[in-house]
Amino acid sequence: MFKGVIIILKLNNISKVFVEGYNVTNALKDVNLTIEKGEMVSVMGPSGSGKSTLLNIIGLMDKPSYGELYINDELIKNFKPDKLARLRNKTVSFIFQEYNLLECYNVYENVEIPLRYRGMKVKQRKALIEEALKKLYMMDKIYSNVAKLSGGQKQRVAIARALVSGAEIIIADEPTGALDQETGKEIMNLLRQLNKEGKTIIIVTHDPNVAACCERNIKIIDGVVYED
Amino acid sequence: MNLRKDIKRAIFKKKFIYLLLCIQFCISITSALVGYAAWERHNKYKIINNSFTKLSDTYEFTISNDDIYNLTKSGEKILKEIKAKTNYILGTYKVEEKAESGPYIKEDRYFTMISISSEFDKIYKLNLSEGKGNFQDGKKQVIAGYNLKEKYKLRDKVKVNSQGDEYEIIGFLAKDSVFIDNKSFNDTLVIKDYNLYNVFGHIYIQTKDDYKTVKNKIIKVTEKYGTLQFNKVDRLLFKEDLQAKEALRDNLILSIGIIIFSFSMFLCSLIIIINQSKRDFGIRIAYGAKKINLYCYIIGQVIFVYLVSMILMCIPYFIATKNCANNMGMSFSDYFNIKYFGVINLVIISLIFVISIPVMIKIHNLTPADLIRNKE
Repeated sequence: MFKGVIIILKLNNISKVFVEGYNVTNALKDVNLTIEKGEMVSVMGPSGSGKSTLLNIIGLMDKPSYGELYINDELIKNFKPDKLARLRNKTVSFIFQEYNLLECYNVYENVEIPLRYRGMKVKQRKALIEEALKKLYMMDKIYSNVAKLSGGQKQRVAIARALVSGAEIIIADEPTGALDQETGKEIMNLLRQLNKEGKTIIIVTHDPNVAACCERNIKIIDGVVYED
Repeated sequence: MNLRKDIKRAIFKKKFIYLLLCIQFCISITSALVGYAAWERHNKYKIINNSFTKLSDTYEFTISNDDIYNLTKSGEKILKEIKAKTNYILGTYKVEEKAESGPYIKEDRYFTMISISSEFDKIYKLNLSEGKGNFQDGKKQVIAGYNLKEKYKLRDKVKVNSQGDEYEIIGFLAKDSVFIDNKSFNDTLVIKDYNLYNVFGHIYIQTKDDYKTVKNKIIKVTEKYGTLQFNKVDRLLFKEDLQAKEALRDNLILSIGIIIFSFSMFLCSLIIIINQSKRDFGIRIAYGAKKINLYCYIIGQVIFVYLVSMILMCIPYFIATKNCANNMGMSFSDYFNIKYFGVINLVIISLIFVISIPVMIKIHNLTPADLIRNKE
């Protein structure tokens, strides 16, 4: 519904260089990209092409070596750490391939993490968490330890955690990579559903089926946008 | 931060071992405290307890003056007789002057001196004609009787024994002051907490005889004095000695505890901090945690575990302290020293902060992606 109206993400000549001893790796080279609000975009490419690095930069998990990143027309480079933390908390949310759940916490507590850092009251938090878990059919597991969940259930919890913060941009790094085909389809349906609700979704994937679910496909090879 | 969960995690996950170490460390703190206090108190009290202690093949036999004085009026006589009638090689015997013989004043006259306890001070308000009646702890002070005003002024010093101990006059009693038995205190010096029978006799006995034999021989020599009966001697000379030994044993155990547990808890604090999951931190930052949240998380977790351990060890600690205090013949409040307790805990908490610094620096310098990539 917001499609084509607002540019939510803009990358200007983004480069990322990793230096390890005498080895210098150019993971991203002058990437220019714009993503509109409400888009569902897939980023494909071979292993080591720089997809995850791109995603980390968009998701504010890493800093670009050069170039500028704009989110909602604001230049991120100028942000102080606290403002950056607020942006991660409210605007951008991340779904990891390996779920990255805190194993010692239960489902509720994992989903609660973004809300905890927002200083929200317990009652409000609970309402939001329950709403997110209902949407993902995980209410029956609300107090289960995440270590005991299946891969698909863990990914649902990870999506719920991304969803609960109400972030406009959801970034998913190979969300179906560790799942079987059937569960992968379910997860993609969920992400599509979220996109329909107005979320901007960016997915890194190797899987052409996942890319086929997205309306825009970006291919990266050797740190350069090869096809958009 | 969810500290309740964090502590649950510390207990039920891999950090359980750290919790145990924390408890050990807390015990070490209290051991240090109790051990130190025991040692300090023992040094103070051992000289007034009768003791009979085997030192290699040497026995030390000590009788405090009040026993000698009360029982025979001449402790020296008994000790000399023991020396003469046993085949032990005896060391020196010293008798210090009794303070009760009276203070030495300028004209070599003697005055009666009375010692009052702290409790006396609280119950009876001294009626003064001049000066102040409040004795200051640790200072050598006396209050003089009314008649002594003629010879002394406030802040003059009087010798209270031939050893040359000088006490400062801080006040003069009112005329005809009466405390006990309607006796006037006009010519008396009032002194606080002074041991009037502060005289000791020592005999060093070098022998290979066992404890029982030595004891029997001494009793044989002393029994003719009538009042120094076997049972009484046994109680006076040996029972308290055993108590002192028990106190020393407790002290030793606690002191060994200090070394073992202090080391283990130091290790514990170190492990608990450096073993924090960097990946967890990365995840938290990815979802909006500020770095200050994480610093608080680290410190909060360690201090929380530390405090829980403190609570857990309170019972054994107080039992140990009470036991030591009983063995030393002291009240719990005399024995327990809050000052050491506070200082030691403060040092430990400061140490925790110092150990945390490298971890915080690491968190500060790495991006969330770096932290998540770190599989620790």
